[in-house]
Amino acid sequence: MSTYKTMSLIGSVFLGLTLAGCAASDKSQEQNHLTFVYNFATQSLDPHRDSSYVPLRAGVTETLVRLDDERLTVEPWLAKKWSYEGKRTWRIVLQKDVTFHNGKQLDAAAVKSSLERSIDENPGVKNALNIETIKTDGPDVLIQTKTTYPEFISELVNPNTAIIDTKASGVTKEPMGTGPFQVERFAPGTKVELKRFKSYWQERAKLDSVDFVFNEDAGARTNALRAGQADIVYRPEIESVKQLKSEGLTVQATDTFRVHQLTMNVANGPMQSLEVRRAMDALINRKQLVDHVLQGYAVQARGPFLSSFPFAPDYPQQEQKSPEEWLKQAGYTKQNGRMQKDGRPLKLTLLTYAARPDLPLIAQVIQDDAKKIGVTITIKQIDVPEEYMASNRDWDIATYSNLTAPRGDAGYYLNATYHPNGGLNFSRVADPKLTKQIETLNKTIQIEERSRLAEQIARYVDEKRYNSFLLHPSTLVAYDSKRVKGWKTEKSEYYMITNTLQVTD
Amino acid sequence: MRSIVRRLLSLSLFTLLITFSCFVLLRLLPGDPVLTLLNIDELSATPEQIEAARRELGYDQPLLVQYVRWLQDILTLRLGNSLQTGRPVIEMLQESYLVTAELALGGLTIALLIALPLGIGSALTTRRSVVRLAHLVSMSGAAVPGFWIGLLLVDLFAVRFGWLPVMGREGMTSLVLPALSLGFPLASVYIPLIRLNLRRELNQPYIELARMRGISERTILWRYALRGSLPPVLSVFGLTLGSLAGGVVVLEVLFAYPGVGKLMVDAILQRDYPLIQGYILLTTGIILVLHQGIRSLNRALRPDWQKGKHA
Repeated sequence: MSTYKTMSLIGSVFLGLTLAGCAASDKSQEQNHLTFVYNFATQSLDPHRDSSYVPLRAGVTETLVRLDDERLTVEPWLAKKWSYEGKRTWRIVLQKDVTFHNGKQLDAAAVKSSLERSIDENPGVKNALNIETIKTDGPDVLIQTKTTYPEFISELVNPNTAIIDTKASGVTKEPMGTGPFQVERFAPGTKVELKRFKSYWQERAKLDSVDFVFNEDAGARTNALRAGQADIVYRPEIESVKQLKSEGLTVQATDTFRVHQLTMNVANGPMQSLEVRRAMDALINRKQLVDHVLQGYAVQARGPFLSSFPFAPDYPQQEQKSPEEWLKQAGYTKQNGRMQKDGRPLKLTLLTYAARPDLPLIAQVIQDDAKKIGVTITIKQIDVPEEYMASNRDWDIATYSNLTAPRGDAGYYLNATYHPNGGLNFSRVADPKLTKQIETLNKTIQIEERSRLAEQIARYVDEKRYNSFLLHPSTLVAYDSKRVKGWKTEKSEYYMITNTLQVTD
Repeated sequence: MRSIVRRLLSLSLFTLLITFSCFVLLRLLPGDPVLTLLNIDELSATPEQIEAARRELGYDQPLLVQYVRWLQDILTLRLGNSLQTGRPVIEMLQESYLVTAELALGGLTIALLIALPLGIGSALTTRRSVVRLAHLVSMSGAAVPGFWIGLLLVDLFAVRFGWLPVMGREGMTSLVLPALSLGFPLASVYIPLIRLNLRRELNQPYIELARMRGISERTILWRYALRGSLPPVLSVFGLTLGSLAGGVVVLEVLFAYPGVGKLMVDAILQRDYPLIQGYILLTTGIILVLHQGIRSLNRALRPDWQKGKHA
């Protein structure tokens, strides 16, 4: 076969495939249709199990209460209002005239059945809701918790407690929610095609249809936007932000509820000393971390909670001492360029893990800064931080990332992290005063009082430096603001496709 | 008949051995499915609640008991349910294998479309330009990773020209770029393989004899030489198919093509044991069938191999 023939054959095949591609429909440019590219994929749309929360984020399902993004407080949604009736019982009054996508009416029995299913299907939800019984009382739902549980209502913000018609079949592919959009087609791992739900109980969605596409590669998401094949992309490539802006696209950065922190092992080793913990805290150059590691897409953290939360305290003016001064106060002296105490140099083991790519970089910056003051830090890479920190004590500090108030209440984080029984108490904090404060919080129903107590606890944790808080990373969203109207990047990252979102041509 | 039964028995034992070793190794890896399931990063769970969930899922039982329970799940043909989604493992694997098969078929088609003409052409001709072209394509395919080719193709055909979709799985058009990204590096293996084997076959005495008997060059090439040179190529093809059956993770992520490779990476990260075990079982089965198929095909092409006559 001649070269000419060979080349012709390859050329024709390539041309054929390319021409076939030209026929591709460009759905993102269709009128009143929006293509949204999200950074996680899901294999199931079961709202009670999907940890990517796609059904809620795509506007298919709704929960009883939601988080208000401005005030960061819990607001009514499918529940019109609620009240504490005493004896660990909450009365939930439902909105009227709400229908599921299959036309069935939302009522107390449907809510009961849906909550029961979420508890059965999801052991995490079962623990978080802490429900003893669910009863219907005419149009209302009565829920009794196992213990006094003031944060119960805020736990209902959890997308895995979304209300669906449990009698409908095919929940993994087409859940019957109450949201402004209903599922038209679900391709596991690829996308969800949504269409407007005509009988939505609030103002009908402005968009006719939405493609909620999954792609876990930041570069590919960015390319989809640049190629005009997507209207909004969640978490574009940070390195491409300048280019996207130069091409006339909008990039929005929003603070999140997440905090990157330095978890201290206070159970054994040098970090038992408050002064050493303060030295480590003073060592951290938060501005440097924000500007260089996170490229400016983060805010410095003073405590665990974003400052906009009603329970984020105003911290008292700190004693301005250098890390060396704190270490001297702890009994360390610098000899031959190394901090030593009783002839033993200060050597720390710092854990980090790759699942959050910023954390190993932060660990290296801390290691470098510590070296400058004569403290040796050995970085240890681990796979699963929760498992490792819970079962090993061969570490002193760890870079860790926490969602501190994902459902608008401080109770979850404070209990999980600082109560001796907390699932995330990797520091092994067992401070009787702190435990008492948390237990008081756990019995306090009144919201303002809870906020006051949470502030008090956060201040106490700060005083004791049980953890050192580094920064709150931002979420980036890029979109074509000439075409897309009504987009808002929520701090909670829960509500994405809404009835107010629209496109203009 | 007896040999078939013996073969089936040995295959079953082999599968059991593979699945049991993987079952044990998986449990030795760091990571706890219970913590993932309880979403401990976002939801409260006390140590007691974690232990209760572990008991409920049966992960507090001895390994052998857990393995026997999994074997019982195989008998139901559902392979159990995924820990994360609650969906039957068999259903999830079916969907993903279909996507992987589509991607593999696309990639192999491209690979053969490039490798066959270049491999055969460069074996038949003495023209240096053709040999050099084959060499260049082969070397560049081997040197440049598929995902990099993918990125270049996306930038050119999707972002700049807007001809093809950047990602997704919407019919033939969305298969073009992933198939090209997969096929080009694969072709690099087959071009020299086809060339060398065909050249060797063309130098065999029986080919000379055929020429002396006046048989046309076309017949010699298609009926004898190519047929004779195929078995080594088919063996490598079998290995390629086997590795493709495991998924092409990077390309699957890049093009949002939800194949079995990506499904498994997620399952491993989430320690979704039933899904991982199901995958190991099915992939072992697929590879064994492919291996057997290639063996039979080679026997049909070169019966002399079976008889040990091949030099």
